[in-house]
Amino acid sequence: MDKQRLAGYLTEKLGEPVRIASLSQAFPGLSRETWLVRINRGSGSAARDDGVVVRADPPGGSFVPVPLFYEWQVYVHVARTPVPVAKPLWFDAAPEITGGRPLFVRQLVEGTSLLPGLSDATNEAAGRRARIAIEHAEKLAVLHRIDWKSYGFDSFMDVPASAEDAPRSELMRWWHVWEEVRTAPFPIVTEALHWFEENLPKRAAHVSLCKGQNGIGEEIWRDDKIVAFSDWELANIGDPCQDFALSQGMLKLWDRNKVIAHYEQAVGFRLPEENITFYIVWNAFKSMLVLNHGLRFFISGEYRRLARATLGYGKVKVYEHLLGTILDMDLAEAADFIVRGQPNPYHNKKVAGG
Amino acid sequence: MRPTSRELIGAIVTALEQEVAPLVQDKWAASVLRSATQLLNHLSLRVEHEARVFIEDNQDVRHVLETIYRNLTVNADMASLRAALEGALQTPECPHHDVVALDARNEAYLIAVETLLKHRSLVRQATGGTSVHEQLREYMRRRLKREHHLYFPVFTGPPF
Repeated sequence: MDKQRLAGYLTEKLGEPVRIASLSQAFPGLSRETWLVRINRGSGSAARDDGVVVRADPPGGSFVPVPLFYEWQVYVHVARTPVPVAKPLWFDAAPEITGGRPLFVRQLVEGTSLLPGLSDATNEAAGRRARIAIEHAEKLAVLHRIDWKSYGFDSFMDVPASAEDAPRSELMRWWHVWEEVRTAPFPIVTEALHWFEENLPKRAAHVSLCKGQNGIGEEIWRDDKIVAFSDWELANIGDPCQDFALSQGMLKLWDRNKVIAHYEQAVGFRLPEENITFYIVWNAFKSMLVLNHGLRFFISGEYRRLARATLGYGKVKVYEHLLGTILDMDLAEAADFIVRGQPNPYHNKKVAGG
Repeated sequence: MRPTSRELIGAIVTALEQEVAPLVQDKWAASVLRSATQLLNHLSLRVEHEARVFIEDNQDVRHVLETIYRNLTVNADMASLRAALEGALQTPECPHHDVVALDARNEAYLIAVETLLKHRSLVRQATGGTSVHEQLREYMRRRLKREHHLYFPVFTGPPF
């Protein structure tokens, strides 16, 4: 991203002079490019510091097979609710600044996506882990209690017919996506999809607005509070149990039963254990799908970033083997196996958020 | 030929890890280096074993598909399934040194396996039991075992 051209672009969009104080790309930015931009805007005595985040598709496209415009719509709708989120500013379908790749711009929220020191072996860190687990559960409860219909999320999201239909709706939606985006035949994965079908939860805990990937590494934290939920590309209307399964290990931070009890108290419905277990295993498939989709643009030559190959090819083979192994397991054994095979990548790293 | 491809790639990985990585301070460049060494570690195995894995797998899956094809009832319901299997089984033989052709052949067989798995109820009706499914499951177990060393532990480390 060229600083000068970006300043010109922001000046035009914001309708006043913009000077770029700093520009950095969020690392590792594998799915989409996220640029943190600190600016000084306006002239004379009206000049002031501000910050925006530019989120853009990489060449070819994102890892997640969901258009950037979908994520933009999520931001716009969430901003109308009590859920903390950065203020969305504008969507640009084909700007020159990115060579025609779509982008959207949102307000920069001060904070970090990671929480350094959280895994330390001290009493202080242990207490902090408990507080953070509770904070996360409470914020998810706010999200899951939203009346998504009255806020219009059903105008652009698929809606399951009922709580009974929600798990199957999730399965079939991503099964179809998989068949469209995969880079090769994967009979073992086809067999795994039948395994998922046989192990589907009977009903969703509730039909809620769900975040998709969430937790540490995804949201913006300040003083150990979530000040903005971030990265909404996998948001959907479905079973809220999936959010605990996709929470980057938040249930392992502290006493799992206490966290879930606290959440249930706040949200007003129960989370069936078997549903969380199902979605933990399901996440292995969904991760594999996303990574393999990202490989398409490596193969086509549109985006030859090496991580697209290590993840989209190498990690996908690892996931294929994991899924092949669970075929002979029951749900509980499979979840245990998957959890042991996937250490949390985020809990002890330091990366700037925004 | 010495050094072998594996020896050469191994030496490149060692040089990158021991002589280049400690000097790379930029996190983006360090990330590229981690991805590159991981892919090279995979390639060092792949250059030696890829052809053998394809040859063994193609023989194995072809035998499974031929057995299933012989047991499929000949009727209108099964026509498209039989045609899919015929198409795969007619994939031309290829020389053992031609890895690209071996790969293409393997892919054709895997598409046929996938078709059978997707139409499991129809296959069960046509063959009068679950044995086809079991044969396919057994094949997939053998396949996973056959290729396991190409991906484990290489791709279990940090990918970027």
